[in-house]
Amino acid sequence: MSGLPEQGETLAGRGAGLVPAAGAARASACAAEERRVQRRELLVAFGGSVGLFVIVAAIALGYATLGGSQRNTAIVLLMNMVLVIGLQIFSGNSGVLSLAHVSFAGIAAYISAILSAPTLVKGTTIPDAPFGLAGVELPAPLAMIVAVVVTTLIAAVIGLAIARLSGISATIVTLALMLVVFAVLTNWKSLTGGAEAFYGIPVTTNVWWGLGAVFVALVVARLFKASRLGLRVQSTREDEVAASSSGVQVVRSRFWSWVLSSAVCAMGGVLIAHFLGAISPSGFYFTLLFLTLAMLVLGGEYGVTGAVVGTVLMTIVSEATRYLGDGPVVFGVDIPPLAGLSQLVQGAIIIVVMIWRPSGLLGDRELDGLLSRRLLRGTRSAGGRVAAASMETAAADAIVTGEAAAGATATGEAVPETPAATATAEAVPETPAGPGAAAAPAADAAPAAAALSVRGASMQFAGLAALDDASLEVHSGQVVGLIGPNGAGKTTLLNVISGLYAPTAGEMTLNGVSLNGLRPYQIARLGIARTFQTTRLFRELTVRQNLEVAASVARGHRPQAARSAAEILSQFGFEEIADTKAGVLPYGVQREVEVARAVALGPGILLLDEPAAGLNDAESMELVSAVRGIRDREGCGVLLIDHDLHFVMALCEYIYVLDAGRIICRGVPEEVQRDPLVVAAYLGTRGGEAPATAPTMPALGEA
Amino acid sequence: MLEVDGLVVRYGGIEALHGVSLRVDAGEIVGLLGPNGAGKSSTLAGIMGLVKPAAGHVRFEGADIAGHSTESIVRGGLSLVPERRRLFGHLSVSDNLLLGGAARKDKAAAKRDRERVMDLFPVLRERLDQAAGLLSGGEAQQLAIARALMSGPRLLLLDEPSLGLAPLLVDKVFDLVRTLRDEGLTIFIVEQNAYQVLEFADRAYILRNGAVVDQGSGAELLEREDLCAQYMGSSAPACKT
Amino acid sequence: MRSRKGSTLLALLALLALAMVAVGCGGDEGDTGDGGDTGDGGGKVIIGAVLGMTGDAAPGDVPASEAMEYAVDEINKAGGIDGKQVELIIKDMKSDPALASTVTQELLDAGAQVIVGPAFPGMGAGAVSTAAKENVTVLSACSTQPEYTVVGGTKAYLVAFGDNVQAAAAAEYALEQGYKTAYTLTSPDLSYTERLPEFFTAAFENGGGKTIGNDTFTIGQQDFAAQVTKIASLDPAPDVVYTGMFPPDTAVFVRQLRAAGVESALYGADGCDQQPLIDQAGKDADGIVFSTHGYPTPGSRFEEFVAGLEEFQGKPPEAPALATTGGDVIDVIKAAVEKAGSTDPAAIGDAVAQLQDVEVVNGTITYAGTNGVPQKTVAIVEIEDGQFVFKDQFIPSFIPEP
Repeated sequence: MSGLPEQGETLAGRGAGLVPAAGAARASACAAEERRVQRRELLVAFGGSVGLFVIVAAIALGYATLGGSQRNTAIVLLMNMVLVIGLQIFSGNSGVLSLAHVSFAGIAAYISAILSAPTLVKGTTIPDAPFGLAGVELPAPLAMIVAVVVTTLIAAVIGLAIARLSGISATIVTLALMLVVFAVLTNWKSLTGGAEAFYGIPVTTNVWWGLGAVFVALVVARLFKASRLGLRVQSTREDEVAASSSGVQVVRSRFWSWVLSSAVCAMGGVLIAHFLGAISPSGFYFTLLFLTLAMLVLGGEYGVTGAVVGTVLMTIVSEATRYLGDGPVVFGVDIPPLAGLSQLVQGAIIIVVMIWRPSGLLGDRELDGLLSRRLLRGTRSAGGRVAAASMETAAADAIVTGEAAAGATATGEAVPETPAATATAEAVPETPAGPGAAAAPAADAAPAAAALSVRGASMQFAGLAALDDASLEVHSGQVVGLIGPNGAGKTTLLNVISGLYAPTAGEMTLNGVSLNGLRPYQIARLGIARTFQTTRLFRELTVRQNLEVAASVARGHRPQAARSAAEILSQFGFEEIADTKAGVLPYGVQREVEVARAVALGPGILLLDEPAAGLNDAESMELVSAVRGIRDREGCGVLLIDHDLHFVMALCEYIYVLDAGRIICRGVPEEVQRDPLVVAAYLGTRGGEAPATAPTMPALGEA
Repeated sequence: MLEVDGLVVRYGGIEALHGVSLRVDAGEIVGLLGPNGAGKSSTLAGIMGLVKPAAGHVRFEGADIAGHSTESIVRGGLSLVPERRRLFGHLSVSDNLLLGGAARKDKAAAKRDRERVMDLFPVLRERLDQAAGLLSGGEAQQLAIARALMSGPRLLLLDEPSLGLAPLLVDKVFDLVRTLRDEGLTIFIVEQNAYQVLEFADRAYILRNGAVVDQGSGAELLEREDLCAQYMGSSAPACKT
Repeated sequence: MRSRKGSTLLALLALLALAMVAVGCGGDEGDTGDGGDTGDGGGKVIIGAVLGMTGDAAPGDVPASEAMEYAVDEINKAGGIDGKQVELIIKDMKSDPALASTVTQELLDAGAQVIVGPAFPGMGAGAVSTAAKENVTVLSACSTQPEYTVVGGTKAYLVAFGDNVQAAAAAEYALEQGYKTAYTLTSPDLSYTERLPEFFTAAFENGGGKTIGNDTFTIGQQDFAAQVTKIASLDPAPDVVYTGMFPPDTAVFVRQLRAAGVESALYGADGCDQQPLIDQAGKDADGIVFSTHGYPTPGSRFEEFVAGLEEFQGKPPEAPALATTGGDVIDVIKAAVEKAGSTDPAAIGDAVAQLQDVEVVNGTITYAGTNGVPQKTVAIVEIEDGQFVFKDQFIPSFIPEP
């Protein structure tokens, strides 16, 4: 096959002779750096949670000193806050609304109640309790601990199933769970006393217990959100497909946030039991559900501060309207009692918030973020405050400076038509700033022998053959193009390779390892990264966080190829926008970030879906050098789809043409341009000519 | 009948059409050709109001329709057969047709048209109760066109009707388009399949990178050398055959 | 923009926290003027009512509260208790158990010497335990659940009869009609609907009858075909079907029962004492017998009270039987204060425990020798020709343990 580079003889292969140890040293230096960064982030999060706690404690204690009833209100505030934070840990981070957290509070409440109530009382209320529980009496703190542990275990078992669900079906299942738990608590009379109040619970909850629980909840929630696992869960909230294509195990990360969330809610539940002294199943049902949900929604479910603020505000509103509703005398004016004022106002608030600020008052802003932005406003770089207009030029410059240096092609030069021009892209790539950076290009990053091989891929969708016996190969350091008319199946092929679809036939291997049957996250972890036709960024996460999701996967699964998010940021020139939310960036920059995220995975094969879409001629040529630069630095193979044939012919060393699911032509660009079949595929055939049929392609590897 | 003047369409930060001007006269078949990503679908979307034009005018029978809602544009006499058909897969063929005529005030006329489309596409009459998602490619395309006809349009826009169809079916579809024009419908057809369309279109425009780069009668454009180059890259040897 | 919003929010938060403090301080004195001190002195009798004016308890507590206001007004017009004017402070705890303690504390802070608790024990527990810290006694006007007396850890009092009492009365009345076999319908959804049939069976079988079967239902289930079918298939049919069901369920159920041709008597409890039952069940309501708090027999205090309440409110009371329990609780408190000779909460509490044959709106009430569930007359009412007809009023001779 003319034009097809032989294995090892790639551009990046020039560096293959370098000692792999350099790579290992870099990898461990990079990992050390990242650990440092993560530690700092966790510390900041911890500081933020402590700060938040201090504020909450001030409010609670301050209010409690005013009197007995106020002390009660403060305790109730703290207990609700624990529940709301617990809910935030799961729903806020995963984006899956759970209605079951009150059930875990209820289960824990009952376990602790049953274990700690005096045997004398149990002899009246639940004399026939199973497992001899009527005769068990534990000190309250021990009962509480046992309750939280057992509830968490129960939640974990349930979570194994629920973590697999997304969106509305997950929510409905959690609703069903709440109903089931309520039914069990009500009907298992011998254990719980049924619908009537289970009383006799030792009352131990006071402000200090409440504060202690809130402290634990805050720290757990903030640390989780700042951790790598928490980041992955948030990425699944933003875009599940992109997350798994970046190597995130969606189900597993959701599972852990579910377990953590239920543990915190269990903590809230035991506090409630030991505050009320008497509990009934209805106390952990719709009323509590709506209240805690309203609090979270009001404050903003994406952040822990939001959970806290929502709880405090709702409590304040509740108390104020309750006071008014009881018909007090205010400044000598006799206000008539208005029962239900409280509920009315709360409902109105929720409606207003949902319409006016659906992501809650605080969105996902955390306390330390708010403060640091104010304190560091002078010293901090633009962050999120650069106007969109200047952003475009900044980003455009960044692409030019970041990549033009890597590829020697000056911007604006006419693009050579033949692939021979790729030889010019041999300038030494910029070495990334960073500790222990080796002087070499990242040839050691990807194994020089990375080869993606697709043989006979077929994809049937209900009678329509989207792919029909398609085969192709991509080697390290190669830029391969996949072109074809609309509807030919190009994106389908990419989806099959990246694991989003399971092909109905065909074999795919990467370096001999079979990809068949692997899930997207597994394929990503093996080193195949991709971008999407319509950008799938984690919109609510910052650019840095977007990159970090992939980078952390690389560190875990491809340590030789892994680089830190910071390196990638500077490689692409994203430092200015590192802490900007991806969703507010201009479209062009977003596409670059998506490429950067794919690169952050340290891939051996990079799949690009229409990278030149929407770019004009000049921009496409810049993109040619950019892609070459990436190829040179990463040493990866690139497979790209695009409709801009100028762009494809200029960039790619080898091209496959797909039409109606079949590869009808392949070869170096000149060959493809010569082939009348390709013309016919795009333009149709002239009248009178019989449509040519594709000749049987010689199998790949044959001459 | 249809005048498009300096149409600019933007999606977020990307400008897909940089001021496209074209016209379609009554009784014509006009083609809009060009490589993918040129902006052909965006042009149709801008005309039909699926995307609000950022600038420019669209006039249908003298009246300005740019910026109007799609429903009012449909009521005004235009109808679109969308790219990849976009049938209501779970609904029956009959329901799809019904929905096509949903905006019409004159229900009697809608009924007459229903009979007429079923005469035009006998296979639909056979499959009235079948779910649209189960139709074959060719049948689905026919249903899509029939559904568009149900709104009683005077100008029919088709977006790549040949997409995903076998060559024989493509011929049938194009024959149908000719029949419809013969019955008085004006047609504006977007296609990648340039040569075949140029054989029966009265006129055509070539779109590239969001702007009109060429136009002329079907016969003229067929003879153009650089037509192929526009699609395939400047000096694609194959075009020279 | 963001940072400005952030600081605005912090400011808002601080402001609101301040507001909360203000409310918190205000809450103490705002409603009672010089509220004052608990304890022996003061020239007033202060009754605090922590009620579910909204939420699950509202159907019971709201009528009771209106009646309490009327009763207190009457007492004050007649010169008060021992010459002391009575002040009634009503606060809504929204049927929320967590709020009960807070609201009770507010009432105590306002000087309440005795507390009226909400209609259900689960939500009343907090009230009881909080009031107990200051030796203040809690009575519930309309709750009929015996566990109220123990749920808060300290003795609390029902003012209505216990469910065990009213079920026993129904059983006794049924036995008097010559009924020998019974069938019960329970629902675990409320302890009310769960335990009434248990108490009935205990009393019925104690008197020589036999419960031949039991079925369960869900409160609010729209269709009772399953339960009706089971009953209809019994041969011979039971003499009486007893349940704690209340309208609209009772109406739906009885219509289906009669439509299936079952002619067994249907006996219920005080939940049936509402006009809607007759309105909804139509002809099929005839023959339903239920136990309730009282009845406006001519010349009775009940009749007089309801008439007076109507005049006081300007409209007829919606649930007269439940309303009269409000009158009962005020009568009990009055009697206790008079017996104690002081407004000291502890003394009032002791006095309540010793009350004997006190005349109340619904007959007489005795606490002496009870655990908080009073000995109180139960009225039996039957529906005849679309009207409530008084049948009997008595204290049942056998009362099962709660």
